[in-house]
Amino acid sequence: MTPAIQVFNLTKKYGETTAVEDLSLTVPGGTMFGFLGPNGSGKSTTIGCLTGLLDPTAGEIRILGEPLHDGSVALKRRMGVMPETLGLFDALYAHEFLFFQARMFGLDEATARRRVGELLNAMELGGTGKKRLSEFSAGMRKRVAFAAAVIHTPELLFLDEPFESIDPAGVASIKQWLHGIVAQGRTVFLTTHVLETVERTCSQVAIITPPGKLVWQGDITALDRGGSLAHDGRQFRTLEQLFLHLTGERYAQLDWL
Amino acid sequence: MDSQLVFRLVGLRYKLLWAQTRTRNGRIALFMVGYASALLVLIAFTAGGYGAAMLAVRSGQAEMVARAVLGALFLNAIVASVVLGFGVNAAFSDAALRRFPLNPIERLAARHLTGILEPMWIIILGLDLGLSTGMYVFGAGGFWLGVVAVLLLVITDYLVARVLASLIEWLSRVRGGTAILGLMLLTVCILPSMLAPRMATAQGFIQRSMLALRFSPPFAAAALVVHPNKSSLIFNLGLMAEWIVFLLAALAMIERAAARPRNVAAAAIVWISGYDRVASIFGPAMAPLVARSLRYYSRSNKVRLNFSIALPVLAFVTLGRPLPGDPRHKFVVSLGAFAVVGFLATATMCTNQFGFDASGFRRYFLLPISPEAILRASSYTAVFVGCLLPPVALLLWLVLAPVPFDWRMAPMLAGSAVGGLLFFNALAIWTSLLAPRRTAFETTFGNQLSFSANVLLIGGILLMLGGATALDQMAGPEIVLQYWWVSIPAVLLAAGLYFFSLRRGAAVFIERRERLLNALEGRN
Repeated sequence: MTPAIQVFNLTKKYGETTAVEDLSLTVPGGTMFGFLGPNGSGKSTTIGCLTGLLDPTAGEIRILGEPLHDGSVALKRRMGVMPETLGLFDALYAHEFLFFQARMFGLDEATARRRVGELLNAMELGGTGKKRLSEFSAGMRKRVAFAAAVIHTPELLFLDEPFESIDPAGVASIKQWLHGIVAQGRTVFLTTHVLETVERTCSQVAIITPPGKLVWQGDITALDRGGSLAHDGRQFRTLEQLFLHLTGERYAQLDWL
Repeated sequence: MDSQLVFRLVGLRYKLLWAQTRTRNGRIALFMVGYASALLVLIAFTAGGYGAAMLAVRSGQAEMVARAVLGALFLNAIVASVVLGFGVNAAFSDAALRRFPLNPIERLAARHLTGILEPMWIIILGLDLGLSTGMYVFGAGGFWLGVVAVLLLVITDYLVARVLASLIEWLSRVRGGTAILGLMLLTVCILPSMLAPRMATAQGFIQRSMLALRFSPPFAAAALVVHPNKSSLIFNLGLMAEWIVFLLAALAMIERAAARPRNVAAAAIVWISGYDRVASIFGPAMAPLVARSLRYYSRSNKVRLNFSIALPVLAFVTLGRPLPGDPRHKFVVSLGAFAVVGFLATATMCTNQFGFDASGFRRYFLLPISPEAILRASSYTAVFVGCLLPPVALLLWLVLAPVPFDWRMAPMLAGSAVGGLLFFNALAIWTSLLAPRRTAFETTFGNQLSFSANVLLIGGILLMLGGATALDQMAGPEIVLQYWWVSIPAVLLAAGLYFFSLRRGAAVFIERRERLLNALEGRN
């Protein structure tokens, strides 16, 4: 199977500041891939580059086997993105926003309306017909952004912090859909700080540290079978232990707290 | 009352203002130059008020001149705040202040202290103080009483502006409110000019008006500034206090009504496809983008408000002006008004086309389209929405304007409207790309435009209206009408500039997208 994502020596600089430095990464197709790192490590910048939002300073990106560049319109049609900032148009109603997204990704009017209705019901947002997105709660906004990312059945789905602010039932539904997507041979690339979720949902993980340097990548399915992850000659029984080892444990003491 | 915390919030408002400007050296320079200029204007105007006081005392009409100066300043401040949005920026909403340990009275005080300490009100205070100090120096008034009088006058002025702004904001949000607002504005703008000739000849009208105006804040303040006797002092101080209490009560009532949450109870999806149908004329690729923009325009309180005020305000500044002699002078002056009418209605959005998208701006670049299409769709929508007003204006003008009909007037007015719309929208593309500003969609008041957009909006209006007046004075209606055909090449030129801006702007849009993204998502 063609790798879903191939990144070769990706560097992204903002002026003098380096956000991502010489990152090389391969994401196999048909996997749920966890992209982890501490705050400010360059995860969102990397996703920005992988989705065509940001121009890399250096390096090459191939998505679904094709090189990604400014004019990759056809390639963008095969991708679904849920950005960290959600990217909602706040003055619209949820169904208007999803309909807009569906039409932009080439769905015909009838299919777009049917999918919007089905998605809103599945997301328990069916009764929000006259409510603007600006009036939605954080969790509801996240659900709408997730719906917008999947409405056109993308082959590759980018999810930046998809589970935060969503209630447990909503998270369970989303996880179930994500497993379904992967079972169909499509790929999910997600970032989150909830490592337990990554352990349970992802098969492959990459960990980066500031400024966007890859420090570990591998298969984590061994953890599911009661095994451990090896690094630097040490064994880690949880992803959290490995993550903290790689990114550094920080325990500051505040006497007054 | 925890005055320390309240004043800390006032300080925070200025720190935030500073934080917005300090991120780039150029902005710091602009900020410093702006404030230095404001200071110079303040000094100059204060001296002007001082000069007016000197004139007042020498002419022996101290109270009359004080009334005229204070009244004019009072009205100018209201126009500047209500029409142009200066001085009514709500730095902190009541909801935002609830995060701090403040009781309702302290929140009210913090909100209005930050409001009244906006630079514009300080300038107005400086002007008023110039007059009262001048009166004191030339022996026509007391110093401290003058200071108290102008302080009370500025407070009243601020409250009147706030009440009007809140009332208009509330009306623009309720069903049918925009129509009521339009009618009110039309009445306010047109009625005085229609009634003035008749009233001026009516017996005792001016005397009755002056008697009634004695109860207005500027006249009460003028009476306090100029040596009042004891009964006048008590009466006018009491009057000012009553005005302040009345305005505070009115403001509280309107704010309470406006704060009622919108009824957003569970409702099923209703597919309103009017927007999509209208947008479909732009072709299948562009239609979803245009439909999205149309929804933004139609749901924006600012755009709705500007739509309702554009015609009355322009009618007031053109048809409402006394232009003696040939009635066709009004036609020439109207050419300037027609050039800005469509732009004035949409300016708050079209000069900052992506400012209301906030994080939604990011989505444009995730869509499978060329960025050029985004800019085109956004600008086409602005032109389309702006095109809705000129036909109404033309029809009203042809039916109502007191000018003998000449067939050449219709194409000239239409050409001026279309040419002006394209010209201003061409420049609006550049302000949107080069000076974007993250803007709150839900607000109605407050001037949130960038410096460049303000220059385009205010400068453009002044240029067009002033240019038409100059043309009228230099050439006169007959010669202007002889050159009616000039409107055709003028429209073509404007169209050329517009399409050039779209084409060149698309390249700039792609090149600057990361900077735009940072600005619109609140990172500098």
